[in-house]
Amino acid sequence: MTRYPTSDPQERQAELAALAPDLVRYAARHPWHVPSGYFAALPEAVWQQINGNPTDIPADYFAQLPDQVMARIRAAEEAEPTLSFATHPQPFQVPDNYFATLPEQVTRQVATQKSRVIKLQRRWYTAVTAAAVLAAIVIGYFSWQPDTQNTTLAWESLSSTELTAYLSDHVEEWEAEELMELTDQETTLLMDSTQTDQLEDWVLEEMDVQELEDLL
Amino acid sequence: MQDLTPSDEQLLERFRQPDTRESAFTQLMRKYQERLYWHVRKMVTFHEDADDVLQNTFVKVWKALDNFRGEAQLYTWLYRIATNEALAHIKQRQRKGADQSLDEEESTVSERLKADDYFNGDEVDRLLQEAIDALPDKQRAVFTMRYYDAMKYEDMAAILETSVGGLKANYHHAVKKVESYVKDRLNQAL
Repeated sequence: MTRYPTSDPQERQAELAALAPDLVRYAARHPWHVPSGYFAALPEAVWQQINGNPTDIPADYFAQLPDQVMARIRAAEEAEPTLSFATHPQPFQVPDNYFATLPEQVTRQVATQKSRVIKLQRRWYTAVTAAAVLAAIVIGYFSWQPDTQNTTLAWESLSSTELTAYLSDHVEEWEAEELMELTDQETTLLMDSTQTDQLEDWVLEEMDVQELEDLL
Repeated sequence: MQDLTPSDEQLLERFRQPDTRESAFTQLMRKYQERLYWHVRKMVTFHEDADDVLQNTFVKVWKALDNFRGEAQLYTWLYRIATNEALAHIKQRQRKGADQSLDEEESTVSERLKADDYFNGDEVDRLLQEAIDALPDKQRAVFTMRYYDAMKYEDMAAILETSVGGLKANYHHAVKKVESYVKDRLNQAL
């Protein structure tokens, strides 16, 4: 019977002698051993791997799981009757149809309590960009109507105090969100758009003169 | 004396029958386990590693044997799976030792061999194992198949699915590297 794969030691030795003569004599050595009885036991070890891999789940595991759990519960109830749900009825009750109507009630409440959430997590460059755009609009507006409304202001000549006073007087005219975008405050303000008093206070307290100048 | 070992064709035929499937596979393991073991052992060096690789090889063979259609000889197919498993094991071992320097890795192989009850080679044998351990994966496979088992290039080409010319080139490179490694280390020791 032919043993595969075929070998040809003489051809190998001749080739090796030409390539690396110093290695020829070591090629035929066999310094390895195996534990006694290893090969006799190997097939059984492989069968254990094939049949008994602990990470495998039996094919019908999930189908049988509910029955097995219930069997354990019944066994526990027999051993300790006080655990039985049947002998200790639930003492709390809910109105009829409570759970059937709950989603609708929640939806209705949510609809009546809608609030606007304004995020204030803006970076400084967002504030600068918004201020530049706003300033361009304001300046453009006044420059475009120089003859009909004599309201052109010499912005450069205004002092910080004058700017602050101007802002206090006109803050209602601005959208709250525009002002909020000029800040880098790391909070979220839940507010109604009509709360201009609070907004005015906040602007005067939180914004510095430079920001106001930028804004205008 | 008559050889009672069943042929590969007989084993495959019995494997396809449900009532003889498991006994046929046990016979297949008994027929090939020693040849595959030594093939793997020379690649991975240590008995524990060879045992892991060989068991994984047979588990994969069990799962895939239904799909074996006989395009190659059974032994070629078995050797191919064993070789791939051994190379995968070596890669895994290398990843585990990736944070070690080359010297630390070599000393680990050398130290393990000194402490290995199933290795009784001398200093040159240990240096040879270190040198083989440092070879690229494919060269390591080619070197051990040719150097220790004197396997024919045609058989190696079928197992590794590559050309005879490529194998010869790989073997020649590997021999030169191993020779250089062993000589350098022996000269340093003098």
